[in-house]
Amino acid sequence: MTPEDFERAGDLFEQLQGMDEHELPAALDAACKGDEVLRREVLRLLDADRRADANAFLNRRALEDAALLIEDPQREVPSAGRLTPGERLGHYEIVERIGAGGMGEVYRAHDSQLHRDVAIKVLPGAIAGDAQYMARFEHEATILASLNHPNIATIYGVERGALVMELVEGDTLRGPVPIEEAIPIARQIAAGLEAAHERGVVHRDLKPANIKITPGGIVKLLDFGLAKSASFARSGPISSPTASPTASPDLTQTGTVVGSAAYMSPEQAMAKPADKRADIWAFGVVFYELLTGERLFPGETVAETLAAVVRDTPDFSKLPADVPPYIRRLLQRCVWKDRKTRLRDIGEARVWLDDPHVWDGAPPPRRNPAAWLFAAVMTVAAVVFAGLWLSPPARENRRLQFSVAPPAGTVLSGVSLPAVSPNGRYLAFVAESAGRPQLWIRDLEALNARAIPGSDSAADPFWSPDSRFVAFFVPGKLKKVSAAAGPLVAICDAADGRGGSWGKGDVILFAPTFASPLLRVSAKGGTPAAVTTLDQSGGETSHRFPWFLPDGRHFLFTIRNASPEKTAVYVGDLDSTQQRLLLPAASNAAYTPGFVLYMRGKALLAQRFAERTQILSGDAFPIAEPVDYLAGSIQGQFSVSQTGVLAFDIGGGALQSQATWMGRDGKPLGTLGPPGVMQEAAISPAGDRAVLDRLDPSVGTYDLWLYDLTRNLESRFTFDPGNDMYPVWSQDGSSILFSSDRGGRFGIYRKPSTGAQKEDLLYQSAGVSQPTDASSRYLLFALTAVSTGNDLWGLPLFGSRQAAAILQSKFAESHGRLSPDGRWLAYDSDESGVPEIYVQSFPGAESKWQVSAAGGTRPVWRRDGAELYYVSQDNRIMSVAVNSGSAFDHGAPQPLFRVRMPPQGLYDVSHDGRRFLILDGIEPEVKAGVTVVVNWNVGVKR
Amino acid sequence: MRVAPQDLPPGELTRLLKAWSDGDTSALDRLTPIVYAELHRLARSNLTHEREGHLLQPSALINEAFVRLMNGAPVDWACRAHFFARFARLMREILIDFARAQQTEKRGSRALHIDLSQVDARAGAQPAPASFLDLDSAMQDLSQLNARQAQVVELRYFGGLENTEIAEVLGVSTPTVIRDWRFARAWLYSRLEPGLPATS
Repeated sequence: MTPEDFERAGDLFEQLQGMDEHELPAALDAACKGDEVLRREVLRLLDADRRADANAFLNRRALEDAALLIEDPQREVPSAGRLTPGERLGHYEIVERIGAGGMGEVYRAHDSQLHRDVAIKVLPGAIAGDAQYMARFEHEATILASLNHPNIATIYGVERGALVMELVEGDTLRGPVPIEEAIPIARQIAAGLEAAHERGVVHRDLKPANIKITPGGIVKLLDFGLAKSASFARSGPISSPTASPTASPDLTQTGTVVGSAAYMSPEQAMAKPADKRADIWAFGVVFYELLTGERLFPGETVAETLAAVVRDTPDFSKLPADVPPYIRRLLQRCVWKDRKTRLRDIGEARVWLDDPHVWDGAPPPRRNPAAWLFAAVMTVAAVVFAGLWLSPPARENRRLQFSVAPPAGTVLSGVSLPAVSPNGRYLAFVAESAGRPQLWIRDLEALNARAIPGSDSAADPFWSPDSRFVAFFVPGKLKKVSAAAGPLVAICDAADGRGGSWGKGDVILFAPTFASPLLRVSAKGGTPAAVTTLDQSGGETSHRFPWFLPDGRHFLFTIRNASPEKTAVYVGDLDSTQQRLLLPAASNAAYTPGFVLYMRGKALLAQRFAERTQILSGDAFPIAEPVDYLAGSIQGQFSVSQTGVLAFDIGGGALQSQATWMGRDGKPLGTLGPPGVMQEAAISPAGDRAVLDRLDPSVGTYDLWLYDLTRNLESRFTFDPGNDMYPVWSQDGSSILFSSDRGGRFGIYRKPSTGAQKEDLLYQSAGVSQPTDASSRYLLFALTAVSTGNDLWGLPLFGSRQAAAILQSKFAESHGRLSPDGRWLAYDSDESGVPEIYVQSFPGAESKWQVSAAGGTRPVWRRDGAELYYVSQDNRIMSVAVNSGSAFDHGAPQPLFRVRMPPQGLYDVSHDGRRFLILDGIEPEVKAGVTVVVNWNVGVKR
Repeated sequence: MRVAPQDLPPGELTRLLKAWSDGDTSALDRLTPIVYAELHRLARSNLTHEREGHLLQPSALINEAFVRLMNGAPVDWACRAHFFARFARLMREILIDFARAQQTEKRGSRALHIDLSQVDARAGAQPAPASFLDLDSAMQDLSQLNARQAQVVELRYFGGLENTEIAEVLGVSTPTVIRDWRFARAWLYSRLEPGLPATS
């Protein structure tokens, strides 16, 4: 084509663009005058134009397309460690990371279409970016998805290079376990392998890490067949003999050695093709380990291990004496080095394990099908082989220990006490999902947990004496619900409970707030009446954690004193104001026949206690350690039944947080100070300093800490033994105002930010006062009192300094913050049923706007007033654009990023709105469930 | 070594660009990592925005990249148009090199199939797989037939310029740019899409 032809084609192209299809041929004929080449070219171009348009050809710019070469969002999955909770992968929302292996990271995710939790395995970026490999991987996943067997973790499919599969709760296989336990486990492994082999699928990487046991005792085989795909992937060097499927670089050249060395068959170790007989080998090796707790082919390095696999004759002398001969023979048959003489079919193993008579006529191992307790333990205990209380079949008076995992998709609340029912059958506990705590009741007999609908933000459950009802606190109320089913019933108001007890005659004793005496109310409802009196002059700040003694009249409870050394457990009496010191301990205390249980540090102690005389005797002795202890509320996370069932949470520091600077995208930019238990972070008006309140775990109270941001210096700001909390800066930054319970009474104090010793008492409150803003000429604070609930107060920092209520209603208003120009008051209120952010004109209240949608708390202004932030119900920092003239004009809330803060934790933002100071919750290191001990007192002399 | 644009002293990019267009090849060595750093940043933001479910406007992204690359420095060349033209050529050169390197590195698995279309699943449009390198070679052919049309593509696609800016650079009216672009795009597409009959 010449440039001249090209030009003519261009002219015609332009003329004929957009012409009706029916008219086009005639117009073309007329224009081309018989030039067939030109006609064809123009037609081609018009067609190309339409298709280029439809396909948005060259719509992006080169820089972007090139960026896609690095990471194609349609295909590429972020490499290891990149997914964060809240991120989405198709219709899956990432909840948390639950593991990592050579094949990538594993996350718990929520399927928003099918409303179930799944596990997502994200392949390392290097693998996911390899189209050839991914095609193979997806093909294999399709085959695996067709394997449908109770002992195989189901593969649901592939989503953007990530494998979506059944979420299996529970622990991976660990030995040793007694033979009675091991046989049903081995039988299930064999059954899973059998189902796969029947469909021509070979696992190739069977090992304890790929075998999980659910809390219900079901064995699940994971990572089925992936080893075959994995052999195509590039991989790093093996560092540990039990590393995940991978191949050392030199072996990749010659063949495909996969599977973990210690469980690899000799043929795999020699890089020969593996078939189902390799799985039979691995089954034998795993079964051996299950019985002995030791590897059949030990070795320090991969090379050493592989050498042992190929060379050594397996040594079965370490098998426990009670392993029957037919099991020994089965093991030997599985680990023949020559696969021609090895057991030929895993189905045979399954048959023998089902019924050893088939093999040699030995009687099947006896099982004791007795009580529910044993049934529960047989299945639940599979989770904790470490428990090891099971050697011979359990008898009723044997001490048994097992772990109750939190339900799928939840984590145990770090703040609520667990509660075992008096009869030891039920466990009530609070677990949270996506930051929303809910009450769960687990029937230890049926082994399933039930969420109590409508129990959002529940805390501190306690049982009725007949174990039929459970009472618990939600913000503002004390409620009850039947353990079986039924609606929630409100009993009475309780702002923020600190424990309760349900005694004879439906008398409930409870602490309505963290700074109140104990009240009594009928379980049927009514108006509560005080039973105890806070001796404020004596420094008492709270009566909490009541626990009825069997007579239904006396009770244990804890008196918190502003002087920590005076905090102690007392015995109280419903019929008199008498109370008697039982023991000095900063702990809740529980009675179970013959003993009082309480905490000392992280140890749960028991001490003999005579119910009639109410006298302690003997030395206290530890019965569990560690047990989670919350220094801030002086509570140990334990509960005990009247039948010898003990439950406790070993904890993991769920309340810990780290003050962290974050960008508007939630990306961490740096940290401030050490991690700890904190409630508020506040930046000075000049932006050069920040103040935090942090719990001193050694004494259990909060102090304020000041940070010089320019020089990166930390200094302690308050020294009083009481709780100094909720700091706010004065308008000019010259002083910090905060709440303190020093001397047993709550008040708001002001201290020069230079750290000079002078501390003014600005306001002494009857209830609990929490300052929220002093950036104008007014101090705003929330006042919580038993009689009126949560209200918003103001105190002019000039003139008369008379405090007055700004918003006082039956609803809970708090977190009042004035806009920088002082004209608008932002706050949260639950007047609509859920807390929402409102803005009203100030000081008058002529008009009012709701700013948040679908719930919100804790508003914070940007210093120029052009943006308002708050925390949404699902824990996102939200941004609202503000353009206020005479009226308050605002935009729709936009989510910025998700946070994990303490429940009502306060944050702040830099002047330009680009950096947030967030108390970022630290993932607890241990996410164990509630540990349950049956017959905890066996062996203890009474 | 990777240099982030913000690490660059103001005016440095302009200076390097000038040096490069004056024939100083070492300037290109210094410019390349800067553009690469920007590429990686874009790659990350693409990913982020995709997952958030928002699609950024391409021109917004590219403008942001350009502003960042410029590090806020005013264009101190006498002829702004000249500068843009150089910039577009530079980007083309670096990006094609980059694609070539990717192709070698990944043995063609992805570089050969980079999709130059914007996939819009809702509209049901099918992406047209085409190679970055094929596009470059087709543009060379186009420049033989109509140099200005090829330049429009270069300025727009590689340089990230808007139509009015292209008109300024080339000294033609904006409607001419729009016409050129539409034709050039159709012509390139007809060369690159395998489904169409071979060109004569």
